[in-house]
Amino acid sequence: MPMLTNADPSGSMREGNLETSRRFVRLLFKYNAIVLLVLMFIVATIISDVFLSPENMVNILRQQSAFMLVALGMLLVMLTGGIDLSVSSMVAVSSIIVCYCLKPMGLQNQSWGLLVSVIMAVVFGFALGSVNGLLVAYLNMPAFIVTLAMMYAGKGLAFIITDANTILLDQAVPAVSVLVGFATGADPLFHIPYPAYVMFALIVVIGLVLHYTAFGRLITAVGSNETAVQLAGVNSKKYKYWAYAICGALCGVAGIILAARTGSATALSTSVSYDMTSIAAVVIGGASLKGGEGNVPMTVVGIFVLAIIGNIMNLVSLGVYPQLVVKALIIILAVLLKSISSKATE
Amino acid sequence: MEKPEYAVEMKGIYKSFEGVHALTDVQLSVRPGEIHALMGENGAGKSTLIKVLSGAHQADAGEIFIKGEKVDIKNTKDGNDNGVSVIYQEFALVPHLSVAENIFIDEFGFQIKRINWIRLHRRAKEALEAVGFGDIDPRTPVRELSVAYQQVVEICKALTRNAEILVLDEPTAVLTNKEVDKLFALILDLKKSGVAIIYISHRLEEIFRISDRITVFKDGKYVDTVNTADMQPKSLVSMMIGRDLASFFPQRTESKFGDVVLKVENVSAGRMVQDVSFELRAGEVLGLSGLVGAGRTETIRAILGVDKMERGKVSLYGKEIRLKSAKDAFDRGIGFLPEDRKNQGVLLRMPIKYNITLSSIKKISAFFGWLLQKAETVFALDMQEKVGIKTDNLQHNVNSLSGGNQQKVAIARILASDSTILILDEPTRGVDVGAKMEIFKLVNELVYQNYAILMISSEMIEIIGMCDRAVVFREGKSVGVVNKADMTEETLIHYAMGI
Repeated sequence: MPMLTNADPSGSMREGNLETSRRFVRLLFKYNAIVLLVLMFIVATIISDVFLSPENMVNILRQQSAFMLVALGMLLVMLTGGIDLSVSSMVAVSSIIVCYCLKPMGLQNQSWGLLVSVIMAVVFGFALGSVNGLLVAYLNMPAFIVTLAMMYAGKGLAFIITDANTILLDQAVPAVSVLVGFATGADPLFHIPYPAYVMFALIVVIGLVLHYTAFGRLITAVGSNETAVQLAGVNSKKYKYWAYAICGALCGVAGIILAARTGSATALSTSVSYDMTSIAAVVIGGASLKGGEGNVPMTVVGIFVLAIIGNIMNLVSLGVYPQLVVKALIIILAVLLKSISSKATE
Repeated sequence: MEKPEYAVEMKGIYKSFEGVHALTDVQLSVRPGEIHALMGENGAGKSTLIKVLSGAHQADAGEIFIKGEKVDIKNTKDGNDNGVSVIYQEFALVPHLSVAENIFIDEFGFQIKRINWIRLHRRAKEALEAVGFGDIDPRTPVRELSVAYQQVVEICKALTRNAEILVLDEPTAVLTNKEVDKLFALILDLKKSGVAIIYISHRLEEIFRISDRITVFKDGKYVDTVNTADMQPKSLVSMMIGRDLASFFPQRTESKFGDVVLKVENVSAGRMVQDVSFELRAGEVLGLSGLVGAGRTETIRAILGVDKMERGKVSLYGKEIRLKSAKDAFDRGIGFLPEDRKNQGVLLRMPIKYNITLSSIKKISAFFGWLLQKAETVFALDMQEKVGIKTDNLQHNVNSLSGGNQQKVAIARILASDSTILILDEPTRGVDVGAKMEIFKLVNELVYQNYAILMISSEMIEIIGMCDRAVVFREGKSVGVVNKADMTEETLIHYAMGI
């Protein structure tokens, strides 16, 4: 008997500890991307002396700006329960539009030429995204097929406009040197590249829209259960349409950054892995492929997880092809954790 | 050994879903070569009992004997192995496969073996001929057959699995009279060959025409088993109903009826809605009664414009309108609570607060849709108090609540949108008794505040207890309006079944 009474308090204490540790494990699962990011950061610091250097950090920021913008657009689309496979094509077409406007069309010689070219790129991205949105939202077509078709249409368009050649801008022209200077330059104080500022600004804007406005709330709600939202008196199609349209516009901005970094545009950039990277970042950030789940901060974490993995592998001079395999493994791991954690919470 | 008297014997079956008792101490015994009808109102427990027999549900307690031997049916495969075949209203056929492929579908295992098509088609032909439908070509894709022929294929499929107990759930609901005659001839043939047939139907006339014995259920309880020959339709109906209602429903202060707010005239939409008319007044609860599948929900969907309305006129406050969507309805002050709470009523994976303000999000938005978080919290708390949602945190997801509280969240959402005409489709489905009472009290309160409420319910007891008037539906038509004074289960059944 005395043994029993003794055992009781320690037993309940053990139960209490168990409860805390269980909660901790659940949090760990939920925010596994942050754990992953910290882990990557530590590993990278140990493996390479160069990793923490300001030059490398700035480099990461510069490289990730375009990917981040695409991932934000992808997040919007995936929140509605859809997917956009055409992002790489939209980025490439937009970058080509910038260069095409400047050189073959001759806008580089006008004082307002650069501004018009840049706006045209965003408008083009928006237009392509709108086509996706209209087909998916109003004609009830599956997003996978619509955006797959758009991916090919975009590719074709890119080759048609460039005639399968690279449009190389002449950096001696003032308008072009401004454009290239934007991508390669940095602010004199913190040496942060200008595209990173665009990225920060859009992270904040999209974050605010998504989490503090009716628009963001309803985009998430539509993804959570479209039928219920419709029957609750919400025009769900409108929100679905805008998710794709905004995604297109963000790809347009990413296209400008892409064109500015190299001072050129080529249809070959339709094959850059904006699609895979952005989908992976959103999923690593804990979004659900079924929609209705996901947020901006975790998507940002997702992009940086992928960025640091890529960066480490470059610093240790791992070959390009093994890099693909490692990236794929990380993505599988993140999705695995996600499916385990959603099973645990059910 | 003595031959067992019964093909199926079920004894002391209990089954409950989330605390709601669906079956309480139910029994059923069916002889071989007998056509045994099951009768009872919606929700009396007929379907649940059949699902227990087929293995789709597991009983909480009770025993099942097949041919005198006790069996343990854990899943539908066990059911099949014991010779039980159920033919549901929605067939389990693969539309683009052929008749022969459908009949023998469970013979196609996961193996690489050449299929002998000639033999398969011959066997299918033989099976079809055996039931007197040799005119069906085994090579035809099932989707090209009429509904009646699809049913024959289902029956063939069951018979080739040596089904000795055949359950038919409302088999004639979708058939023409001629097809019904053919089906009955087939059923009588099967009876002669010794198959035990359990027949579920709402149509009294059919039951008297074909069945040997009838078992009656009420509220998940067994009432009696009788010989059909000894019964009159009237006496059968009185067995199905008759309860003390007064104590269950909350008292309402006499409300004053206002003007007609919603008038529906001769609405038709698709096969399920054919010529429906009714009027809804402010300050009243109007019930839409009828059997499941009588077209009540479909009527509402047509009025709201969720489904296409083919003919008819809808007037709101005397002005003709044509709604295009639920959004349109909400904009005009018509709030709609869908019948399928989990899939249509609430967003399970989103916070309670967001659910409450979903239909009224404009009220808590400033410029550019910027959400006023504080105002939202205050508003949501206010609505929570009004409908009595039991939770200590409105940030929790809706799926953390009980069914009754989830339903209250959905009702709070409609009230938050300032709707004054409320359409509640099965507001108490899947809700425990306590929460039912609270929802009824809330409905009474709202009527008192001059809301106009249209309530669809498949439970007659609810219609009688709650509604000032009831429109009864039968086969897609509104067949009668019953006033509070005349509202008894007899009158409602009279209209709903046409006897």
